[in-house]
Amino acid sequence: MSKAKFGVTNEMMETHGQTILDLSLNRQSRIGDAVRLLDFDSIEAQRPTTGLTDAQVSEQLDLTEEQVRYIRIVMEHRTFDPRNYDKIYKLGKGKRYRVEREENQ
Amino acid sequence: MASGFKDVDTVDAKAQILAYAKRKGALVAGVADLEALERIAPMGHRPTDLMPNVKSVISVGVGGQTQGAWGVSAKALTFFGSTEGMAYRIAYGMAFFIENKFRAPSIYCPPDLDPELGARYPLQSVKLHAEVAGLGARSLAGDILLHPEFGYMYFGSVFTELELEPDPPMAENPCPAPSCVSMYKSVGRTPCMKFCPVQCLDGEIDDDGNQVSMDYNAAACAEMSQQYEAVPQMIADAVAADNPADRDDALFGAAGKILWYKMSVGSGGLLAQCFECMRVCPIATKSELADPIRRATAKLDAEDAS
Repeated sequence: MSKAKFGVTNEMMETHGQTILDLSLNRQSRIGDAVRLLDFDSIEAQRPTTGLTDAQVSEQLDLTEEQVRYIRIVMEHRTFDPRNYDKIYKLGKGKRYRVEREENQ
Repeated sequence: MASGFKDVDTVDAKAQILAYAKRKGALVAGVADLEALERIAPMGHRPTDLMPNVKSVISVGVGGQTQGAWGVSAKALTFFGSTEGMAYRIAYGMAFFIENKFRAPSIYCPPDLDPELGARYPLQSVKLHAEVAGLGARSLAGDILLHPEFGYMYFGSVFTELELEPDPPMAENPCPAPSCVSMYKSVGRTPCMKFCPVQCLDGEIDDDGNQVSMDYNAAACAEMSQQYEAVPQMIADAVAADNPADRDDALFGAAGKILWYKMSVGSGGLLAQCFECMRVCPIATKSELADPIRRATAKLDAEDAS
């Protein structure tokens, strides 16, 4: 198993799982419009929030790139809720999603 | 045997290449600044990581679905809402066109996932190529690129050893539209944020109506737009079931059966399935040339005026 091969432990998963997910492309936050404006200083400054590669994340944590990748992919799977997809079936033809409708159920 | 492409008139070549894209159905095409792409894309995803001798990255954009598509049920739209196949076909043909016409080594840039990185990291960002080439600007809807005239588009890229003059990125960003700014001032949200089924979008607009920030939960978006990720989960549920009824539910319930259907017919319904943010976007749906009806009307109006 790649978990053992890469030396990933349950403690690593517990300690770093959410951080790795947040630093990866799974969460993206940007300020302004730096790429369109080719503002390279701003692009560099924002890298931690615009989505890092596994290698970049590993530089921030005491983990190897392979460990980060393993943990990220497992976290992507664990946090993926396929039941959300059913919301699609109730939308369209003039009907939009409304969060308050869900809260009332 | 000399390739001869270094003697090509690159100004004329660029005109011919972009004309090819338009002739084949692209609405926009441009050349991205390779140096900028190399600085912006992270290591492993730069154009030279894919094609070491690349000198130019050409981006093509095609229009989104028909006007009628915005009015159908979301479940129907999952199967046909995206038009990226047309962009890919044009880019694929363009690589052959460049090699045939100018004898410069070229490739169709695969828009696919990096096979070493799981289900969410692409080999290259064709979106970045398009943005730097000036074909679109980042929206509050998870950075989906929007065009002020054509609205919501799909993009494909070609890499070539032919050195072409790059185009600049867009001078202005059409997002947010004035009506979205009004709504934001009223309720603190834009339509794309409010009507997202998984509430994966957030952001801020300043008093002048410009984007201040954009926040995107891509993991939540994936639940609606990357259903291929549900396939192994469904199998895992079946394997883990401790009784035949639960196993049957996992494999033979409606949700499981439709996954098998989509895989067996090679349906595009397993990815890019949710359009709810674009369905309520005035730039995507109401821009002057956003759909075939609007483009045909504009063409007739222009002919009448001349």
